[in-house]
Amino acid sequence: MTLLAVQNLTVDLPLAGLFARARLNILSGISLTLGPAETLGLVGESGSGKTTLARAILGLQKISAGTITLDGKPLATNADFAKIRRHSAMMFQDAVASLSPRMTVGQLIREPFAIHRVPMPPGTVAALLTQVGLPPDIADRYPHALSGGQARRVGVARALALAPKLVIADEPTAGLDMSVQAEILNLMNDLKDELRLSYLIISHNLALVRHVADRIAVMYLGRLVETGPTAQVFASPRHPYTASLIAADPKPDPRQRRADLAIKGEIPSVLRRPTGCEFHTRCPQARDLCRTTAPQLTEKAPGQMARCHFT
Amino acid sequence: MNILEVADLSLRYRTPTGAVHALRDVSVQARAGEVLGIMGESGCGKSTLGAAIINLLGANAQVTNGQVRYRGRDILTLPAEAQRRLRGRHIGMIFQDPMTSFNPVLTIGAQLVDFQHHLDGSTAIKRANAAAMLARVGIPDPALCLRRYPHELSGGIRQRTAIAAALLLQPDVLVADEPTTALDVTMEAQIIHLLRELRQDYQGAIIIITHQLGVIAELCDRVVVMYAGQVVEEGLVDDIYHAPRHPYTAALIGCDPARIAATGHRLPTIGGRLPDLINPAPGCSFAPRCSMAIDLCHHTPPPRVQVSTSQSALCHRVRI
Repeated sequence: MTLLAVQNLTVDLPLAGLFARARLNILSGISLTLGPAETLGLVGESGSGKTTLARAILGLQKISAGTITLDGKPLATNADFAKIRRHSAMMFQDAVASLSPRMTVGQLIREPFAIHRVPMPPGTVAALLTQVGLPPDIADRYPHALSGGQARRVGVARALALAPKLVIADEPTAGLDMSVQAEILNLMNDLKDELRLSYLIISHNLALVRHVADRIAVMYLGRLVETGPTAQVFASPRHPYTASLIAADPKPDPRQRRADLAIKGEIPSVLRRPTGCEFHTRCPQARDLCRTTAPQLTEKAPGQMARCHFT
Repeated sequence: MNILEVADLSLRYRTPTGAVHALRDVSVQARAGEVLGIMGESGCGKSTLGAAIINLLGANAQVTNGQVRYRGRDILTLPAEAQRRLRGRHIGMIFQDPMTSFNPVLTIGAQLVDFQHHLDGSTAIKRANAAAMLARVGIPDPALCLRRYPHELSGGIRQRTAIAAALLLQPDVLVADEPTTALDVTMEAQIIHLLRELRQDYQGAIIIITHQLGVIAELCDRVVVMYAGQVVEEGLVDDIYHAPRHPYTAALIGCDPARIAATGHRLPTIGGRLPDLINPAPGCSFAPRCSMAIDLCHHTPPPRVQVSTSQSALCHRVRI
């Protein structure tokens, strides 16, 4: 049983100006599934298309091809997506900026009910605040009076307001301190068990993803380059990009300092997409074949797919 | 030799609700050729300490005690003009977001030439110096980079450019406040690699201020751990990560998910909140959150216990 299925999703954006008819390929052939009470971690550098994918799933970004189904129902029209937004919620990267500065915490939590015209049982605000570990009297405060961790918790409370099945969290702990990050991750894990939530967590923090995700999907320049069970992928990555990302993550242990640089250069611009395998410009193992022919996503180990000619 | 010494520095910010005691009796020494890490969470005073070192404190900051000595001279009491001459030239700074430290309407080249205003030589020579420094920090096409505006550069290149700008005047103290926080993990690794490579031929002291434990572990020789405006522990990087003596250091390092190999369910947390810095409690500021706290901790300020020649902790419960 899958909750969310994305099949061959493609997003193209028109280029402005003189080349108005030219289209720029942002996401291509993305297929993903997410089961009930499962956490999928989506990782990749800035510009790899993670956020665009999340926006497409919520219908905030027009898709060019492919299908998205939630609970077996295909989503195509705006009305379908309006419905998915009732059953899914987004936690935005900048928690403070995602809260209107002119509304109190209480009003912010009531807002989803008003938008979706769902009657709100009395005591809901206090119950939601308690659920995310905030004192109920915080309901009268404005966002500017909250700490980063508190704003994040309000974001979680808002996401949970309509009892969603799917929560998309874009960098859920960006900008938080280590101890507060641990509290938010524990909270998200508890709520997952309690409410059988499915999470799609977008992050470039590999330590976080390794800790919370059941499965991981690695993106590079708008393509999935590897997917698989988290522990398996971290133990034996089958795409050189995944391996480089894991090696690049600084270890909080001075005895495990990196001797060498795992990955050089920067992610290329989508305007100048490399030929063949997109990663060949930075890949330590690239050969001639990689420069000319794009590899397909193939199963390299049980449940683990990678887009690479070698490995 | 200590190039920079912060001695018993206490500083408060005047706010409408009362004075916030942002630094309390902070003493830190940075030696030639070493990389010193200043570690702590938001609100612990690490950025205030960084700002005090380069003397870029806000107008509401008031130093109530102590000194910041650069080569033996207290820089906090220097006249404004003398302080300005020190900045950049002797004490350089790398900020978290170089987008806000460069002028958006001037090219990188114009700004890097400008930074050398007090040096002799023609603009052409200064431009050549700038290009050489950009090449030194690994920018592939320095001539092109000089012609660019800050917004045209990617985050990683922009941070490299900021490092080049800071190194251009060859300061003896380089302060980097969260130098990799705004970057991707791949760019972060490259900047760490670059800073590590640059220190090979850098004679001065580098001070890295960050809340990212991984960055400190990768780069630093010595670490100062701050909590609630105080230095709670100081030691060699290996001791801080493998034999922390202050309960806060141990708790902070313990809650990093990168330290835990298994996909465990719950991460350790510290619990509680940062203390009120307007009316600091009389005892140890970490006591309300500390699992080892006894009565004494709540009432009496803790002593600074020297546990070895290089390590000390501000704690009642630490034993030598």
